[in-house]
Amino acid sequence: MTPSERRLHPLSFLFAIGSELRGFLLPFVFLIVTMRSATWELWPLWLVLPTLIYALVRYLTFRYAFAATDLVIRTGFLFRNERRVPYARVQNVEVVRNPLHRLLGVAEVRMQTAGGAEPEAALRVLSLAAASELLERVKHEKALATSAAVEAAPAAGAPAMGRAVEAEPARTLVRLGPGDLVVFGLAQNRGMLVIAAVLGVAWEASVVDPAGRGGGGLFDSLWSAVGGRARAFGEWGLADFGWLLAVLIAALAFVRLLSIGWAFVRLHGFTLTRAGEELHVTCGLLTQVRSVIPLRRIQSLTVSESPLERGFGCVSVRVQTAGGDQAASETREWVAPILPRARLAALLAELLPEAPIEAAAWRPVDARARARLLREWAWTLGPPLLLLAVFARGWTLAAVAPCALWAWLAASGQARGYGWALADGLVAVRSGWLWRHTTFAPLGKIQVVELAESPWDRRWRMAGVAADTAGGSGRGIAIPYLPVADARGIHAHIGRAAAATAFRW
Amino acid sequence: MGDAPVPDVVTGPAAAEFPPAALPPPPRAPAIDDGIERSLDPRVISCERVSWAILLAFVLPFLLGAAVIVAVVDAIPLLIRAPIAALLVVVASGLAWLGWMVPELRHRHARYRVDRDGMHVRRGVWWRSQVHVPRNRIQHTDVSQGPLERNYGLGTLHVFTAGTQYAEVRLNGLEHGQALAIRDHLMTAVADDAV
Repeated sequence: MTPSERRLHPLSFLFAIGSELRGFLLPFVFLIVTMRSATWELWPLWLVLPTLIYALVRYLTFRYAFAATDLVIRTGFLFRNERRVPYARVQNVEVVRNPLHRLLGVAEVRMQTAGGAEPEAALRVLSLAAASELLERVKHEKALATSAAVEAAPAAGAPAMGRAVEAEPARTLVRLGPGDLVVFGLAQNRGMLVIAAVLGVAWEASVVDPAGRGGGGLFDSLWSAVGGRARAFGEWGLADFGWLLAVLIAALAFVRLLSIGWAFVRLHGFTLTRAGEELHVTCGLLTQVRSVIPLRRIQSLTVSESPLERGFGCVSVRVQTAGGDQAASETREWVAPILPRARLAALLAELLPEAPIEAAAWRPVDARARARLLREWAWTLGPPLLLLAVFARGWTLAAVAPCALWAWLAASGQARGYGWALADGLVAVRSGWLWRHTTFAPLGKIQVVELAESPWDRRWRMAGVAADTAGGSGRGIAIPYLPVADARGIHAHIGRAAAATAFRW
Repeated sequence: MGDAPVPDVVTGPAAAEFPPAALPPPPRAPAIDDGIERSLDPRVISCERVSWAILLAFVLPFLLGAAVIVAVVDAIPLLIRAPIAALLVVVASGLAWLGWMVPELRHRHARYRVDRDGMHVRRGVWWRSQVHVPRNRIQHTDVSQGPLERNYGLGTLHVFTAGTQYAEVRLNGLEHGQALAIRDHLMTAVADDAV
């Protein structure tokens, strides 16, 4: 250990054991309570030993030091690790002191960089003096680093999403009225959520008994509840099927009504306003929710279109954000749950000045993608058809034609639906046939880009490109079935552009 | 056979100065970010084979023991016993064969490259992927060594980004010093631009 390396406070061992044992506390208490005279029942306590050893080893081997540009943390004896966290990358330093910490005069220091849910450097525990020294040092070095960077590259910085707005009053971008909410409720099936919740409650209250009256109890009770005649399935006639169809349609309509109800409760008065470099979203009937999305936290934006939304001439727009002053978690938020297609261009121009909305900017995937998708559909539909052929030959003949038609339509639609576009500082991908999604991401927000080839990709001489952002949940930038040359070009371009633009957290 | 005139080997401007007046400058040590694609250290093959062997030391006895038991028990008819025992033996030997072959295949298909744009890692035998981490997207790094890696003088470089699916990009099978050198080089790149 070099002289400049520091260790954790000796009491760290205590805190480490405490945090490991907290997981064992409940079982331990349970064991004590249920234990009778037999002491052999205490053997599970030996399971605690590995965690104790781990905590001891970690405390004994944890060393940290201040290098010129980063904080160096070395841990481990058998599995050694040396971590370097650059001061410039530290976003957040937390000093945590619970009552025990305060009693013993120590503190836990957590340092966070951009991205990731857990702190990249967690020092449990340090003496107060060491903690404040660490805090001061990191703050000082970070200030040095950022000022040096600002001097060195005054014009650097990715084109942030949205135009720079100076002291403009808040502008409303999207406002949903009751008619919009009805369309939303119809197009997006939120009714199932309500039903699932109700069923869950009913199950708990034993109102619904799935295993009644010898097998199929739930179906029988439901069926008799809606007035169907109780007969074995093999004896069903045309009237019974007709009744089943009517019941199903009524159920679907009911679910849609629930969905509209959900939309009204959750999204009543949805308003999106832009105030400077922030977006404000307010909605809700019973619980008013107001959230703030800083424009620069937006990692990507997705425009979705379900078949029903398309029927109504609408789309829905979501953004993927990352990080914040609280926990650094990614979220997917609506900026427009439902929006008439005609207003999409204006909204995108507001949030993404460089968005390529014109069809000419979209490039297709490989010309043979349709053939390949057709083959994939054949592999998907083939085995069930084969199974059907074994058990019910008559049905198979009737099923082959619709399956083939579906496969043809789906393959053509999907192949046509894929597309990509590289604009100035922005990458966009689109996919889908019935459910269409288009995702836009500024190149400054791209973290890592990958070129992937499965064995089948190699056979078809295609490849897929995926770009990772900090707002990963939801649809990311991924496009399969590209010609290999295109894929390599896109991969190289995105990589170079990402390397050239700084990432502002 | 008619002989073509043998060309004079020492021709050109240098010929007049042979031997050269001053020694040519020593070759420059290759910079880390020379953009040359490199393979991993060959010792990673043995290292992975050993770790696979350790894992199999727990699994194989079960499989082979089960095969022996199935072969010996008289209660099950021979027609069913024999294929099951044979299958277990085949699976066991298959795992052993994979443990021998896969590390070498993975090494053959693994490449890495460090250049001005960042780090590129090429992995995968059947499912191939090429990952590019731009220099300025690196948040922090780890260099780790398990006990087996330490024995072979290898190390693993972990590069962390702000991404989600690729929050961590791992490059194992590097010689330990090389891993540290690449890490130092990438860290100086990070220090040059902030946030």
